[in-house]
Amino acid sequence: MKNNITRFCFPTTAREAAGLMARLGPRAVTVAGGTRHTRTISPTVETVVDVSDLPLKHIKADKAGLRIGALCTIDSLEKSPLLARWAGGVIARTAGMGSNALARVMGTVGGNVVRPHPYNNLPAVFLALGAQAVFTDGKREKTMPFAEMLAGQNMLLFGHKHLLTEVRVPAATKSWAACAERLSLTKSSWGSYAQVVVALDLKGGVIRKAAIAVSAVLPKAARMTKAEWVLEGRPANEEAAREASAEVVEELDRMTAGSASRAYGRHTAGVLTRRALMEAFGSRP
Amino acid sequence: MTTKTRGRGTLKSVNGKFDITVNINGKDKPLQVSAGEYLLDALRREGYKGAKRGCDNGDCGTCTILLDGKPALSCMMFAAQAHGRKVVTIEGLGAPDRPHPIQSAFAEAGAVQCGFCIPGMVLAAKALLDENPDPDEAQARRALDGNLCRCTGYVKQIEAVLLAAKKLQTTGKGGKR
Repeated sequence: MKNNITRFCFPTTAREAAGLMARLGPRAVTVAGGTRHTRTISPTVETVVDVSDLPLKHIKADKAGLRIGALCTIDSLEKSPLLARWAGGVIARTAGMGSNALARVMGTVGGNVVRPHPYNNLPAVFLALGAQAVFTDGKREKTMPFAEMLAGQNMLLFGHKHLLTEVRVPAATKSWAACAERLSLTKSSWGSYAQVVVALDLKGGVIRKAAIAVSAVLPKAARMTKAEWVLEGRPANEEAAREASAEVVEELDRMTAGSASRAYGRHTAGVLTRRALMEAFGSRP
Repeated sequence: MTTKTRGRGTLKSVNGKFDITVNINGKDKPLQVSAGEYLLDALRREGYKGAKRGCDNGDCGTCTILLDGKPALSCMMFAAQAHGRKVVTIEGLGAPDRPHPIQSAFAEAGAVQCGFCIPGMVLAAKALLDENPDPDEAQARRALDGNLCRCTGYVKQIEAVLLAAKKLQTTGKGGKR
């Protein structure tokens, strides 16, 4: 029981919500789905800004690409017909991998990507698809590459000074072959031991562009750039998948381990990379 | 104290208490809740004992309610967040003398052992059948994967959900209503 909260605000616009956050600073906290947040609120918080009424629940596509509102639930991503057709349905399938039905119905895109849990499943898929984060500070809207948003100093601002409003995925990725793999205790487990998302621009069986994002074994999702270089310009075959997965293992070796032991995490991520690549190759030969 | 601006406005506490109004099982109910009190605690205090306290961490699903028609974990949201919203608890679904077809299906399928998890399962099943009146077994399993049962192997509950779907279709009560 936290008896230090004196105010609940229910803003109806993102500008209003961000304005409140900017004015109140660390004395306020934003809550949307609240699947974890309500149990971990700091005792210094006096105001809860419940953003669940904001009109940020859209999933739509335009010429620039896909636009996903920050308040879309994980469940709505999983069930979206539009997302089922985008990049081999990788966003929808990744959403479906996360936790159990109740948490997916309550949890939001915004909460999943701005809360710094290494095992949250959406950051890796947005990272692999080269997504942009759209946010507001209450005065103006800004856009930043997803990779930049995940940098430590920026993540500290989200939920306090910045409010994520939308995730934009480039139009070019619609026809990409993509696949996500995850290892967890059970299918319904909240956390993963390792998660890998691959996204490939394939033409005539040749990999023109490759993106591999790994999470859970690292403190936050990251692209495996060296493994991507191994793939680019090569035929989509098992040899390429094996070499890329070995490169992922080496690359992870140079990084800090996350929730799993380093050796196990590295090995698992390598196996998942190979599996994901083989499935992606097969889905769009 | 409620200060209505736009939408649900702002709630300010008076002596650590918030005055809220929640539509519970079809009736607007004024409640006084403490700062930081979870919806589960407020509902149980008001006599809606069907929502059970299990893990207090969003993992077991025994506290499941329907919030604006969607299943929600009442242990994971503050009571004040339910201000102005519609809550359905198991008490709003049926009564012992007039059980809802889903409740009848659970009894007929032998899906109830100790019963602790059943209110949450029935409400999760209701949310599924409102959205998808004719689920297959995999869909039923997936919809109930957030509701843990320590007595059974889940087989009977899944059978109950599929039986409930048939009952609702037969009675013409399937789908959202």
